[in-house]
Amino acid sequence: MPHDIVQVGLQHHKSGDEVGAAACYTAAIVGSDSAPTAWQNLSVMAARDGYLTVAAVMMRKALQTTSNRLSALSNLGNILWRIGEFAEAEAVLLEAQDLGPSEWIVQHNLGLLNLAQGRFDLAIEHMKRAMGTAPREMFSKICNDMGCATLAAGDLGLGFKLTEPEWNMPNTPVWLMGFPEWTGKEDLKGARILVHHNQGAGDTLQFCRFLPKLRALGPKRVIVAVPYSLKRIVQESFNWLDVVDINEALPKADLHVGMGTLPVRLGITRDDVKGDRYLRAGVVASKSKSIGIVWSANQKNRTGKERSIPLEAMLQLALVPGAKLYSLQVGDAVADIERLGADLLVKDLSPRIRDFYDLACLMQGMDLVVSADTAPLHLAAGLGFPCLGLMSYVGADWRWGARGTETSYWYSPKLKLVWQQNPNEPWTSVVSRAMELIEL
Amino acid sequence: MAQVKLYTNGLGGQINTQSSGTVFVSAAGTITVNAADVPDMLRLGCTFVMTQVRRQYVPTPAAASATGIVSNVTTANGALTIAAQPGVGRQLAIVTAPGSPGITAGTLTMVYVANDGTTTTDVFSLIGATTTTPVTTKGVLTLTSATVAGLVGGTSPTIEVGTNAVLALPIDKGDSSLALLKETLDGSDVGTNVGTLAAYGLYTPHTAPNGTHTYMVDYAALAETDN
Repeated sequence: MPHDIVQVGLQHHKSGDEVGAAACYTAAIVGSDSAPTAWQNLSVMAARDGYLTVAAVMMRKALQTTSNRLSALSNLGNILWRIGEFAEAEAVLLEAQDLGPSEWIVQHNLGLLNLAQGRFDLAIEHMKRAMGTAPREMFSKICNDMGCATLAAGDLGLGFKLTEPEWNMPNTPVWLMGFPEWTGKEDLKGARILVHHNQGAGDTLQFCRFLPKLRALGPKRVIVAVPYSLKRIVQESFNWLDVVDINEALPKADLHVGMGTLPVRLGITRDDVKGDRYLRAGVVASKSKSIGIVWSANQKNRTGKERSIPLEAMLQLALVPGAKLYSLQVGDAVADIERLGADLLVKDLSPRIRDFYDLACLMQGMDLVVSADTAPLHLAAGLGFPCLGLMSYVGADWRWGARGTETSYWYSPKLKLVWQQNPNEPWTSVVSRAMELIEL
Repeated sequence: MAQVKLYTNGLGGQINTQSSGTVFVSAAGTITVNAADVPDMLRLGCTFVMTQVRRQYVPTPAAASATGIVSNVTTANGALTIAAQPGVGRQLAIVTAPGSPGITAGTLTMVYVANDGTTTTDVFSLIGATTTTPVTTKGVLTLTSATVAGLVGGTSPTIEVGTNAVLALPIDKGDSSLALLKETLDGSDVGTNVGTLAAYGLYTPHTAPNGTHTYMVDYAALAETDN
């Protein structure tokens, strides 16, 4: 019976009915001491939903009885590194590799483990091995992960090329407007080109620096379509652009290109990236010794949870002599202030923030911004404003390079990075080290 | 091993690769290499073939029918009689009821022309003691054969093959990164109530086919390999 119910669960799983699948797997583990497939699939579901500790125990349960140790070990390794247990993750994945040296999934997971530890060359090597044997439907994903490792290692030319299949998804209405995509080969002289936001806000804030390079190719008109929240900051920073709301009626053009695809189409390499200020905004005066703080990244993002910092840890910044804390956080995380009863320590400015331009103006009236690895950090750094980025060891994005790097070639030295020194270093400790760098 | 199509951007003639051996540049300026060679080729100046946007019109597909392709029959070794073809590209669903005690050995092999133009073979295990409904990996344009073999056990087992609510959009062999852009139902844009588009062009409309609905679908695909 347990075998049958697992098979039915797999049918549900395959057809996309995860609730039905989970019910079958749960019935299987209740009905038997040995249901490794059910434990394994429940573990994968739990891990995907962020219950990593539970997922690890479930996968260990599967390992106790499974005949397919390679698959269970590979999955367990993948869970363990995500909770920062790098040494054990590596041991588990190397055991899986011994069982199947050419298994793409083991090589991919070893690549992800090394990427998470900032061992980019090793990550690239494992990804390359994975790419050689992976099924076709996994190609873009592995190619993208290898691209992120390559970008993190500083090879922007190849890295942007490798990420192109994933970053060029036709996820905006521009693709249905009937004019072709700019592949980088078509002559732009006299043409109208529409650049559309197709990644996260941080990506657009980071990559809009390349718009002048696009303009230098001679188009008659450059139109940039971005969400409302980015419209004013982009327009103010590049006053020669036509900036439109991507959610409203869009103008016709001759060619289009995604903002995330712009670097590869322009052939950007490391030499093209200067740390100069490229964003512009006004200023809202603030009291002296004011520090703006942002603690939460987008929780819907794959690494949003890892990159976010508990507000509890950030509140230590109030101990900097004379400092006044201002919250520049927006979204659900703003409620953390009330939840902690911290409104006497940090003033919530979210009611004054309609968009990134408002945020930029507020930032420029302060003395310092301290932020998690999220879009406002790119905004502050792009403005050339003094800021401290608090970096997660596990979840740090490719653009910040090797763990421990104190500055970023993408931005001016006014941006300083403070890293978790190991995956399990408490954020209170990271904030304490950041405080040593603060001179108001 | 996955095969990947790249523009060579001016590289011509023959190219020696580590994993794919010697490859020749096509008249269209493309090469197809093993995935493992992609990083090296990109470093040499090659680029991916771009995403293409496609539009497919699917007029009045029939409602799902559990027995529309192979009628309900007693499961026995040998070829099943194909009563009808799906008409438009569709995923097929097999209902196998083993009875109790269940089937302890046996397979159903289905050979079909798929929506990516390839002849595809799916092998389904019939082992089990409960009714299951496995589905074809890809969309089926034409079912060539359905054959039961090695059957052991079962108690008056039965089998039938029919359609479900999943349609199959035309793709090229090797297309990936599929994305549903827009869905029109009976001439009206459904807005955000779009269905889903999965691997192999398997498209589940938000409103299921019933024999009268007409669908027009805009979708995108990255042509990663040559046909």
